[in-house]
Amino acid sequence: MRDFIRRIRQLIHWRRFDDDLAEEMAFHRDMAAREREEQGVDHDAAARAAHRTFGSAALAADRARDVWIPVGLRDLRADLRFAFRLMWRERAFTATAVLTLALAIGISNTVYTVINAMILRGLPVAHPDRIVLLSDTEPNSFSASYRDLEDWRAATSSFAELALFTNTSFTIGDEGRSPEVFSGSFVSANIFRVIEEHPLLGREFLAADEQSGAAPVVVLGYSVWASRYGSDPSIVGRTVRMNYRPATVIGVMPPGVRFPLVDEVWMPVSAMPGLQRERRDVRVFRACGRLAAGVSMAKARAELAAVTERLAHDYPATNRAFRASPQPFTGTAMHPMFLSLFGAVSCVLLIACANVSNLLLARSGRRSREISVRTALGAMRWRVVRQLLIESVLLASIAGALGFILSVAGVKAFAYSVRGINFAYWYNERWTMDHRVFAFVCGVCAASAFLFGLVPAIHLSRRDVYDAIKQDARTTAGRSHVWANVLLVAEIGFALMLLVGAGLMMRSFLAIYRADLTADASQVMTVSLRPPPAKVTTPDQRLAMYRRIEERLRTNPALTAVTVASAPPYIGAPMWRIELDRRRQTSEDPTRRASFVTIDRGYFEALGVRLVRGRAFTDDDGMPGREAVIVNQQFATMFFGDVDPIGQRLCASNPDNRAVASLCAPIVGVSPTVRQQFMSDLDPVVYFPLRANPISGMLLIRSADLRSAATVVRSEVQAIEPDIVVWRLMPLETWMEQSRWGHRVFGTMFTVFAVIALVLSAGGIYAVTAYSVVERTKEIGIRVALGARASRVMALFVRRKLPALGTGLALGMGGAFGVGRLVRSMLVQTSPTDALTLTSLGGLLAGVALLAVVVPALRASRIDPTVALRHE
Amino acid sequence: MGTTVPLDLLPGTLELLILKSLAAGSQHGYGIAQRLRTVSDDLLQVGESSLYPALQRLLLKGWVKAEWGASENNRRARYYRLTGTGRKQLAREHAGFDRLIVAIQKVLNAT
Repeated sequence: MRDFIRRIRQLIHWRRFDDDLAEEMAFHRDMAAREREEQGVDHDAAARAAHRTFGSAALAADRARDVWIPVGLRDLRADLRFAFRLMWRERAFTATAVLTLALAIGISNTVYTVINAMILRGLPVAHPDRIVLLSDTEPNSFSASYRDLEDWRAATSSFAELALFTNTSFTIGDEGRSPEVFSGSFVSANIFRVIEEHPLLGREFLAADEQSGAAPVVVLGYSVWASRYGSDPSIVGRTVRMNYRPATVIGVMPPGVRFPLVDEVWMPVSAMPGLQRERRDVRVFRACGRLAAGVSMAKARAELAAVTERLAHDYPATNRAFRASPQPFTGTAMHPMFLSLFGAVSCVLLIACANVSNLLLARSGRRSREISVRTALGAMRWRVVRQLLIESVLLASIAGALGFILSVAGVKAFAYSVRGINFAYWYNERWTMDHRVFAFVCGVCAASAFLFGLVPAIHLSRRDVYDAIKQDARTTAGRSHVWANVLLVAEIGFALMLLVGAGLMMRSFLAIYRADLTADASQVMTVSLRPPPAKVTTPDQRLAMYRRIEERLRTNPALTAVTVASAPPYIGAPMWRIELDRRRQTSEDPTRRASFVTIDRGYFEALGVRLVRGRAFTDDDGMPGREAVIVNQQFATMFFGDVDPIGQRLCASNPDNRAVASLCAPIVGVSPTVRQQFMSDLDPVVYFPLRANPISGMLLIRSADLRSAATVVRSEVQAIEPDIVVWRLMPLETWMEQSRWGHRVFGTMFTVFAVIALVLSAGGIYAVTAYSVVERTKEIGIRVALGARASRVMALFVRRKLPALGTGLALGMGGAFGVGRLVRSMLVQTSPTDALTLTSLGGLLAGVALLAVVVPALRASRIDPTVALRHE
Repeated sequence: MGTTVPLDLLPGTLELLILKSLAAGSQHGYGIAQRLRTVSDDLLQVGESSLYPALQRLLLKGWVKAEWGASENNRRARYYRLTGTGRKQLAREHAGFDRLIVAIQKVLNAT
């Protein structure tokens, strides 16, 4: 270590080192000469003798220097200096290569930063990798019952904590102030122990709080405490009204804790109205947990799989098809969207590498003489390869630095394009870079330097020394053409895959926007209502309340349409199991699912939609003996095909909660397809009358002036019933945008990447062809002088590139099918092997590639032989 | 040259001898070479191309220090001086070398 410090100190005074050494050795020689003179040798002879005995001063100085700087390092310095000089001399080449790579590295890092923020970084807790979400093995289903959790806790040892939660919203009321609604969850008592967070004030939930009949308690989030209670430290112990019932505040969580989703208020499951704890099939919760110390995800998964398997055997009636499996809480990077984005940037990166590799190969003609001279002078092959790789690493490093800067802008652009989107709490404000991102950039630089540098390095170092020196550099490129063609094939192939991926995404993006034009959302607003449970308890009272509100608002001339629905379009709805009348059963799966929505009269008018067939609901629909259901066009096509659905019966049941009775009714109408689910393809929906299941409702208001309508609705509703909380007044367009941002943002990203890929590969093809034109100027000159026509000269170049272009297109087409499969789950109204996309983009790429060959070839055909032959 | 002894037989020998010759007082490179030659009755002829790298190694280890000073004939010369750690190192290596020589002698004289 001390050696190291001395070394550094010496290196800082490096200039003096050489001078000192030289002076010291000169002194030595002079002294030796003087001694000889004293012995009677004449002056000149003495000096010569001294010089002779001293040996090579240069060698001595070299060795002395080597003491301080390891030999390898000194060579490295020389190599680096040489590489810098070379890059400066060939500025155009350097700029092209650096820009190409920087672009690719920039977008790779942008995508990585986004994936890192959304998934890899995990929750903002001490050990994010230990927190898991338990999912049913059926995709996207995360339900669990209270009994499930008890069973799992008893039978597993892989989890330090297993907890339950269900998202809801809470009305908080206090004496003398209007109530407010906050999003929150009913949770098991250990929810904060999962993420190892403790209250800022007061205590956390205890097991006793979770028992049925326990005194109601609530833990507030920091933001609620700050905004509603002015950060009053005496809040702990105070009684507030949660959903109109008294509850004691026992704690306040620190800022930033909004686990598990966007929560601001938490109450134990004991406060949950009507929870049936003993029923295994009342799966209204989601389960999460923390892995025990030293337990791997795989081990926990295996243990839980065995347990759920056994439970399925023991309780076939409720657990037969139910399996649970832990996964990282923030999801896995294996999500097809991220996989395809990653695939896309990898394609661009590979194309960029192929381009730079090709540029280096093209330059190798010029380099080969220099390299051969080095080899002839005794440079080892390793040394030559190293020199070339150092040049590559240097290129990649500069490109990496530039790419990093570009990606900062890219991440900014992404953050801008998703502004206003409601993400889970761990995404917010985290579109930032961290050590992981930095490591990624370095990795990408190293990998790309290796990728684009290796082929030219091997190619150059293998050249025959004798041949290279003997011949003119320009005629020796030979074998590099094989490599150039291989790289061209790869470039075209990747570009086509990316283009097709982008094309499919773009078509879906357009399809979703087109589909969303079905309903006219521009003048529609949604309003959430929270009726006071003390006054409104039975379904009939609920229905009556909604009807009263509707009637009152309908008389207001500012509002064009007023209706109530369990969920407006785009915001999602529970997926219920649909069973068709047995006698009419077609060959389709009898237990398919559809979005379950209840609507009141006037729903479709409010959306500006006209029914395709049949009739809309009246106020009486849903009464016993007057059952009725409306399905959307998508449902009709999926479940009935060409058969007329009007008059057919269907039954809908909640697959997660068997305690809810199933609903059966004949189909009375078919509506156009208005998307119901979040970020999805057009989905099948069944609309039941509000009366059939008036559990919760949102108002849909249509008005030319939404701003004033909001004021009207607020005051009118409170005039009817002052205890109703009116909240979340949102334009339907906002919901719509929330529900398709993924297609918009990721579709745009794909398209940007594809355009970059197209430009890069066209540029690459152009450069390679143009280079071979320059290389063969003399030969063309001779051909033209001997009478070759311009068209023949052109064909010479075009024909040579055609096999590579064709092979690339064919391979890319094959790859494009794989791309289609990968992005399938994100496609809307688009087949993964959409013929139009495949052929048009294949054609586009072929055209651009051909153009990139023809333009330089055209220039070749115009070569003037008298100029060309003098070209030296 | 046949009468001289190669110094690279045992690694570190030259460094040990330089340390020893500096034990009497500071000296410049030429002086060290002279001293080694005269003390060893011309048996040890230190080539300058090994002397100066060896001196750099000692500097790197921190066993000697270099300072510019005036030589006996009033020229600028770089004088090397033993440091405290250098002195300790000399004692340690001297003892080790003695043992090594004895051991080698034993092997060579064994019948």
